[in-house]
Amino acid sequence: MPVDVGLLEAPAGHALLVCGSEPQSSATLTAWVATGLRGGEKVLCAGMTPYEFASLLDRVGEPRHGVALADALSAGQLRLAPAEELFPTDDHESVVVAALGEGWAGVRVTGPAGQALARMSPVEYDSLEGTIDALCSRYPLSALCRCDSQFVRMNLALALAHHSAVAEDTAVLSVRRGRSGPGAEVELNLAGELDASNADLLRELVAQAAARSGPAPLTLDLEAVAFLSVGSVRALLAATDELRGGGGLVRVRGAGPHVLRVLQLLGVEQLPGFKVEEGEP
Amino acid sequence: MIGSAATSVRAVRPAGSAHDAFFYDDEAELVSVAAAFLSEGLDHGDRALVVCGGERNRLIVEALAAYGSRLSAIGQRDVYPRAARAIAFYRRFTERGLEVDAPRIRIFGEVPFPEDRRRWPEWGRFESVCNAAFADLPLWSVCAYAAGSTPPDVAQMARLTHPTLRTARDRSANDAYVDPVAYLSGGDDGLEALRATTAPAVLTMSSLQSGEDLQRARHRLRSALGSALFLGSGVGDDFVTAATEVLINALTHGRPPVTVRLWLDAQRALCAVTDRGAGFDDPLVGYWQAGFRAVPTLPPSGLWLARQLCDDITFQRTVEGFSVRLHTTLR
Repeated sequence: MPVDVGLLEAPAGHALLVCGSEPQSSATLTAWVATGLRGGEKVLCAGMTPYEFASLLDRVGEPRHGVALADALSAGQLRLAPAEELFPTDDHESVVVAALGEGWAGVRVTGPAGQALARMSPVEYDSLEGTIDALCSRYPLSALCRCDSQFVRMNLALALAHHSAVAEDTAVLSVRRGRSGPGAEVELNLAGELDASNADLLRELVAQAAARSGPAPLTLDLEAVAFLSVGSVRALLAATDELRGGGGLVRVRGAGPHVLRVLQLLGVEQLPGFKVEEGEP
Repeated sequence: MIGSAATSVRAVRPAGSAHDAFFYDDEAELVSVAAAFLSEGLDHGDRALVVCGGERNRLIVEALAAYGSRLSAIGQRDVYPRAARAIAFYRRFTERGLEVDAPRIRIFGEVPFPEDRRRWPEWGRFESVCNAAFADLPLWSVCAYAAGSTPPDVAQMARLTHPTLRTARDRSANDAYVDPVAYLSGGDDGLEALRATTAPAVLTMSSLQSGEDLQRARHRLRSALGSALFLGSGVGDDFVTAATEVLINALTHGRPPVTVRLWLDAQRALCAVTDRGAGFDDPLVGYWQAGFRAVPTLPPSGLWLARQLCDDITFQRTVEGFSVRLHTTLR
């Protein structure tokens, strides 16, 4: 099942988008904004220069997204918001409630995680992300925090603690935590194209997930993975080495025919501690 | 001098791997030699496998029915889609047999050279690589060739690639044998037909530098191949994956910028990935992965996957730099 990588979208809820030097040209961000607009949600973009916002508009306005951009702008549905508006020291809830009070079906907020962390102490940042997490579960709110790969590497534990997914333009790596507490099953949903450009990120995320899964099996759902390189397989092996070496189990499921073939040709399904499940999950 | 009896080559049980060529006159001779070779091992606890064409698997298995499941047979089609996959299959079969109980594995088979003579060198190289790829395993294989009907070019390849020759009566060292590195370093790379590239490439991408280029290159290769392939065939996906792995190597181990060119004709696809570096000299790279099962942490290599996903990969130094060429049959 091929994924249209040009439109690979970050999931709703609280997610972290890893992008390069030009976040406004991220296909994932574009698709995420367009989905919100089509669904009648209000979309607030923070931490962009007017120029960056204008080039995001150019992309969102492409016909394939099916967005009536002029209407959205004049109705205030899509707006460039100053960072202060979205990262106040208190009362984030009022921002969401106000937007919902205008009659929108939901609210989407995107802002730069790095800028937020630069404005406050790590403790305050942690509490802010925790607040956003809570609001996402209480209101029809989706928050897409943007960062660069250096940020996610340096703050990975923090990133994973609050974000349900880490996305970049060619891959979405989302973590679904099972029952909380020690021994809870951890499931990682991977989507898009896993190759040399995101193998380091993949390795670190899977290693974090493996460290959390403890004695319970770690499940990797590859259903939406359109491409899997050998380097990414190496990343998966290295990240789960300790888990498997200690008798733990890594369960791989949902792999499409092509991904399954790669795993089989590399002998992964024969490795101790690896279980590759064929067919429908 | 009791030991001197053992100097007859036939009686020597090689310590590591052995690889014999056997030119047979008729099916009856083939069955009797196969049965003698395999039963000698089966009597000593070896496990054995036959991989012959036509009715010959069945005839050999019937002759050795008494040995039950210690003797297996498998069709050529299941083993030989690609050289690297055949090697992977034989390595796994051998490792598994050793794990269970066997001191040695014996294989009697026929390499199915395709009808398309442009693909013969690819399988000649397979025969040669086997000598290196199984060197660390107690695997004794006998490759049978029909004396009457094997084309002279193929027979010549067999003589260059087997350290020992076998007849119905004896077994002797083969003076014509060439070691794998020398064999693969010389001669026809089997790409002449397409490499006489008077035709322009259907796709050329130059100045590839980074991971972002990688994805774009992959998508363009896929769409260029898409028009040449039947929908739903895995050949295109496999070829694109193989080319991507080679491109990743060029970007990470070679010297960018990298150029990718694709040629297509009705039967075959050729992709050349060229970086500006000096490349490497070992023509056996990527044909097999030793000990992957035994040592779980040993990471698999991209070239190994690439070799399993296309017909053939060769290396050339050109005026531009180091060129890795992949080719595959479009079905």
